[in-house]
Amino acid sequence: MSYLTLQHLRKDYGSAVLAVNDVSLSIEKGEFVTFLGPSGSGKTTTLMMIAGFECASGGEIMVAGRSIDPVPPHKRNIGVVFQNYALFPHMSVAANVGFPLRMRRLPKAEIASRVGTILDIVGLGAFAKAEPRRLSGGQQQRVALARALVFEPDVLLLDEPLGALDKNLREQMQLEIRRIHNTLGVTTIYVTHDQTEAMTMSDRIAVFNAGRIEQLDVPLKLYHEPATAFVAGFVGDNNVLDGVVAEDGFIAVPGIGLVATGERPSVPAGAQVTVAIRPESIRPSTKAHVNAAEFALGGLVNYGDSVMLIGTVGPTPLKIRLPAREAARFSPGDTFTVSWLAAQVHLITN
Amino acid sequence: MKPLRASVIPNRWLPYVLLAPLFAFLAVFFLVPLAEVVWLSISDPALGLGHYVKVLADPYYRRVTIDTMGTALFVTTLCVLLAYPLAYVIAEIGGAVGAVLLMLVAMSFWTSFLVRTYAWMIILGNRGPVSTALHALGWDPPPLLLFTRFSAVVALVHILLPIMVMAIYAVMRKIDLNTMKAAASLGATPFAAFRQVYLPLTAAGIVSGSTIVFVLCIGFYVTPVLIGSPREQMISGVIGQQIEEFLAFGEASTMAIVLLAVTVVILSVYHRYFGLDRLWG
Amino acid sequence: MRTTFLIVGVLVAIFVALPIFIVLPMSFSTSLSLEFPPPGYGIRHYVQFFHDPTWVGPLVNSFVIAAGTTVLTMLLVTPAAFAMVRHDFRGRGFINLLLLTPLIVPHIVMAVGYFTYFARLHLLQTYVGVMLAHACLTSPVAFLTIAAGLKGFDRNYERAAQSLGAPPLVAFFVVTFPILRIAFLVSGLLAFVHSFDETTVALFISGRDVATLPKRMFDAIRLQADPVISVASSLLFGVVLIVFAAAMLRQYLGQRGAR
Repeated sequence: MSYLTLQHLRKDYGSAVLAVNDVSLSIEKGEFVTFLGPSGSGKTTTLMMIAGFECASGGEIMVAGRSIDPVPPHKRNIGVVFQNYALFPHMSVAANVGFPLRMRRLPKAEIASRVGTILDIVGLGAFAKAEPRRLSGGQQQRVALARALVFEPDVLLLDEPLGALDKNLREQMQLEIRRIHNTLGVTTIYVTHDQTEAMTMSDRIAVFNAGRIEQLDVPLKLYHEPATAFVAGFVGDNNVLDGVVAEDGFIAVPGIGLVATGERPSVPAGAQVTVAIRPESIRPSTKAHVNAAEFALGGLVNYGDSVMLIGTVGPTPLKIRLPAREAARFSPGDTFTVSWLAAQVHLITN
Repeated sequence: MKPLRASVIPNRWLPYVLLAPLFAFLAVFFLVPLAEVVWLSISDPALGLGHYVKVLADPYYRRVTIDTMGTALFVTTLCVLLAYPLAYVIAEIGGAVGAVLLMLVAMSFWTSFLVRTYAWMIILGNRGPVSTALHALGWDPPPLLLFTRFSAVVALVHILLPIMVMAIYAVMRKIDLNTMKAAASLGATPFAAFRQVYLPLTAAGIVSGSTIVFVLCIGFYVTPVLIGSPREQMISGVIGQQIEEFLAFGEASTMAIVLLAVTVVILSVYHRYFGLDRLWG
Repeated sequence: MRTTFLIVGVLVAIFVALPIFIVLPMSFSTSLSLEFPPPGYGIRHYVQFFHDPTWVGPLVNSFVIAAGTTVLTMLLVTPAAFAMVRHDFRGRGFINLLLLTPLIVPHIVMAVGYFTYFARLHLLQTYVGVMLAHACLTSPVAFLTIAAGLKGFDRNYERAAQSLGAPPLVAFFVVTFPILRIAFLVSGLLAFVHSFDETTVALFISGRDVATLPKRMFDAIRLQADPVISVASSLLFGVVLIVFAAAMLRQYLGQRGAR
């Protein structure tokens, strides 16, 4: 039973270009869904429409079966964590967190107790009297989170909250946010352009591109079975290759030859398709007839635990990821055979 | 599917309602008196362009106008030459010295020009330090420094200098010092780097500062009247005199409109090439 | 090159600063003439100033007029700034230019206009007349200051407040206004100082009873060279100094004590 539903949401800013173009999805109660996409893909605009700060040009938003479109933002009971936290600088941490409860006219004693509880949950119990500007980025983050959760909102929205933090802190906060989500069970929408972050934290991911959702799925399926070329290229490193359906269900890809996929293509011969092969699926091997090619190594990128070998097969660029020890024997300029399994080839029909 | 109600779109009339008080106020208490000046110039004592003809033809008025423009040009040039090094020190050398200098400039900027004019009357007066010094050097009696074109120029330069400094400094602050380092790494001598890289980058500040200073200078009333030569008046002094002494509203208005016209022309030219919003950021 | 600029720059700075530091000592001079350096120091001029109603009167007038101008200007300019910064509407560019025209027109031109216009409205030589004129003249600067503060204001504060349950007007008073306090303060200060110092228009419309301090000073300088004028100068200078020091102090205190 859907808790939060978006139906055919549209947003235009007066020009012909649509910032949000027919976005629909259903989210279950307690789910953690991420809106993932590059800048300008419409994910933040959609979030702002749910929060009520942007007015939709078309479509509907429903929470618990009721449309929230006529409801002004201050009555929607939706918690928002902004990218720059937007903590009120002229109030202490406790005053910030207690603000929504004061707006709801709760008695002082109850406000104090609930503020104390939520600050303990986010791990900032000792900082109640502090000023926001004296806190570190990570701490301000948690205050913003506490403030958005203290009034037990129906939905929690986070707009790229970890963008300003450094890598280690970011990973720590990702786990923190997920833990708080599991503790409180609040329906959450998280916006980010960082696909690693999305993969780590989400129950499901909606991949946005140019105002539309290209795929809405659990992380693993997004990774192994991308529905479009965009998703294939955006989520993780991937080789996204154009090809033509040949006889017998093989795909002809320039530079490689014939590629066999795990299933029979549903489109006829001669159709243009895309195949996606993950770099870690490709290995050096002895010659084979299909799913193999001569790889000319151009350069190496060292990731510490693995190495990305970047080169070409014929005219087509190709990336191969090998464990560091295996990659050691190759240097730029080498040519060798590589191959992969049919089951690891993902076919995308346009 | 029902259409979405404009629950978060602001009231379409709201901006006009918010603007109405100020707009109405300015219309009644600013635009009307301004229009009155225009009207007077062509209607007092009788309807016609007689005053304008007189102003453009009469050698006295022509001389006053040219004198005013010339003085303003001179003052502006001096301001540029003096302000640039000072702005440079504040912007590039910075540190404690720069901070102190900036504070001095700011203090002068905020001091009423009446006070500053009066200060110069003391300094250049015949009981003041300059006279005393000249007397000590053997100049007896020391020359009369006050109530001359010289004293007017000195006071005007002093009053308008902080404005020029601020205008140039504002532009200098934004210059990326890496461009100078790049020029050096490409083989430019410090002087060449300054002339070909830094100076052009600060040109915008010089232009905007000069425009403001020039426009303020031609319209300046208090300082030239108090400390300048009564025989070599500037336009604003003539206007004031015509109102106070002769009650010649027609003539005064005409000169005022001429002054306003010159101001508007200069600012329009600036606006066309640079945009007026640059002047007040 | 840097050294040349440094030397010239410092010399110019001395040129800029020195005259200001002359006025204050002059006011404490014991001499009856404009002798500088003063032969001795004392407060006789201050005593004379504050016993002379033809000086104290204008001093009070200037305060009253400046205060009234400030209130009037702020009330007019604040909603206008919100309109111009927050909304896009037809005629916005034109209105923007119109709001700034008082900056463009030379004060002597306005003096001519006000002289004849206010004469007809019987507003010459009245507190109200001067306040109305000054409000026009100070409004552009006050407007620009508040507009600048508004432009730099992160609207996420208001959105956060609304998402937490505050209706728009409550959000303004509880969040927007406190955060923008500095801009409002600076704007008011600028309006006050501009009105207090304004000379040219006041010369023509403030007259004998409602003369402002600058007008009184101007007349005095024209008529005779009296060191008591230095007291007026020092007061003019002092008021500005105190007002700005107070503003900076408040800001400093405001930063140290948080709610």
